[in-house]
Amino acid sequence: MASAASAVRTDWQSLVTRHWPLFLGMVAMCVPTLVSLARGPWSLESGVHGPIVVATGLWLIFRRLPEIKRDMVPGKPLFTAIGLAIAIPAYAFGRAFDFISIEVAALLLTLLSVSYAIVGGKVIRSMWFPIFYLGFIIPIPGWVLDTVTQPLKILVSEVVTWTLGVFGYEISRVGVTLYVANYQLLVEDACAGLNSLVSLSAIGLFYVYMLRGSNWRYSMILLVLVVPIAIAANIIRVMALVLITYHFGDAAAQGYLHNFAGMVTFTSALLFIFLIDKILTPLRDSLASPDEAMS
Amino acid sequence: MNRRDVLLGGSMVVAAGAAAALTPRKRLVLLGDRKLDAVIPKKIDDWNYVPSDAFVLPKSPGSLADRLYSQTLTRLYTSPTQPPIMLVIAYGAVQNDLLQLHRPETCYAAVGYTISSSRTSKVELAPAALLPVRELQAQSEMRVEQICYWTRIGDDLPTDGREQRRVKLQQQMRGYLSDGILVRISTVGDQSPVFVDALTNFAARMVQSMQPEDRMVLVGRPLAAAMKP
Repeated sequence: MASAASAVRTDWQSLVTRHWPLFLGMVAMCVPTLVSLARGPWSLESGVHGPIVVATGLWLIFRRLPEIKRDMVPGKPLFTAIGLAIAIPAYAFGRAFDFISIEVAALLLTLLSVSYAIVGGKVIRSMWFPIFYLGFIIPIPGWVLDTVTQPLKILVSEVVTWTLGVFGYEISRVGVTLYVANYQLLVEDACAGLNSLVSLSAIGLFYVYMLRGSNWRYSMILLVLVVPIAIAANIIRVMALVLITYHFGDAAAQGYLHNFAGMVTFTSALLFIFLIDKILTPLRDSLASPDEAMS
Repeated sequence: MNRRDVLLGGSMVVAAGAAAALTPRKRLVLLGDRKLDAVIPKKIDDWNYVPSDAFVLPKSPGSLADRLYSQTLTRLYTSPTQPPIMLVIAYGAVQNDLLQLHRPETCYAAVGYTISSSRTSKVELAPAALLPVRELQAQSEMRVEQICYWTRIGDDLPTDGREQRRVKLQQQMRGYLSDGILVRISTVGDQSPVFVDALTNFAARMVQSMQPEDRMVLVGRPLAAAMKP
């Protein structure tokens, strides 16, 4: 193990010295974009998963370095040229004019094209998951996210109102305001957790891949379930918010909202995934192909 | 080091360089050091400012509105002869992809109103100075509101979201970033001339009664210049 680690380390030194123009180019493109990401999207609730995805995504790639080295064959220059011909102008445009989604997407395409030139199509295809997964660092523009989450917000508040009503709480929803006892809650604030939909999907995806990666049919089913799970997690969040407001008052609810709400959403989403994974065990076994079941 | 490395690395450096070269460096800030509160008259014709808090505004600490706007102003104006007017002004010093003015169509919809009518119109500020505005009717279960609003990005006055993004991009391609402002005037009432005209009238009178050198804050330099006799 130790010798393998040191082999990788010396590898890097000679790689950088031998291929310094490549590394220079990557640094020139990646560093400014990472700085913009850290200052903008990653500091918002809709983008907290960014750094985690970068770290885990790179880890997924690096742990397969031996396999990559074994199978690498330089790719076709034509494909690389096409990829770069699209990616480089898009990157310059996106970065200069503040379209960070375009900038990040173009950066990923650039890195993909360059990697293809070096390792070739076979390795790239075998790496489909980390590549797809890294796509989650492309920030979704606010107006797209708003359009998607708006109907979900109404749904979440409906469910919360109905459920708590069944348990005998005096709660009503007028438009987008929730009335609990003599408090008013804006659905907009209460449901802000829906902005974490993308983060939850990314984390769910990683979990599914790590634990059930070999069983791709089952992975797909779990993946489709990630979105309802994220919604369920948000229902829990809003319900907790309403209950805290009801029993402990507005000040306590605000404290919860700013300190713990995000964590509650996240943890409940993870627990939901574990739970569903557990419940679906029979299905998982039946979907596994014979050789997978054995391994 | 081989030819391929140089080509690939070189094209990446070119991408980074081109991005840096194209990035707008100039700023167009029409508000300057002024405070919105100081430039908007407290008395407009026979409308007078009265303190109130009955507004549809998606704002809480740390919220989107909080990050979006560097200055906001909300005021209620009442008049003995005219409908009461709610004035909301939101100002953002920088407009970018993540932070940009939110148009009332979205904001009202987000708090449960439905927009039942939306059309563009012009408010005559002076014979040769027409201000492009959008007129909306917003309905909730409890009330109907008439809204008249406009947005300014730099010297441009876009009337819908697509135009807003387009003018922003045009300005960036010319090498500058601008500040942006949203001016929203609304009143509770149906779509009858009493209310609709009151809004238009208020809009025109508000800009006219500002100091001539402050008008560009709300309507941009070309229109402010066109208002001067």
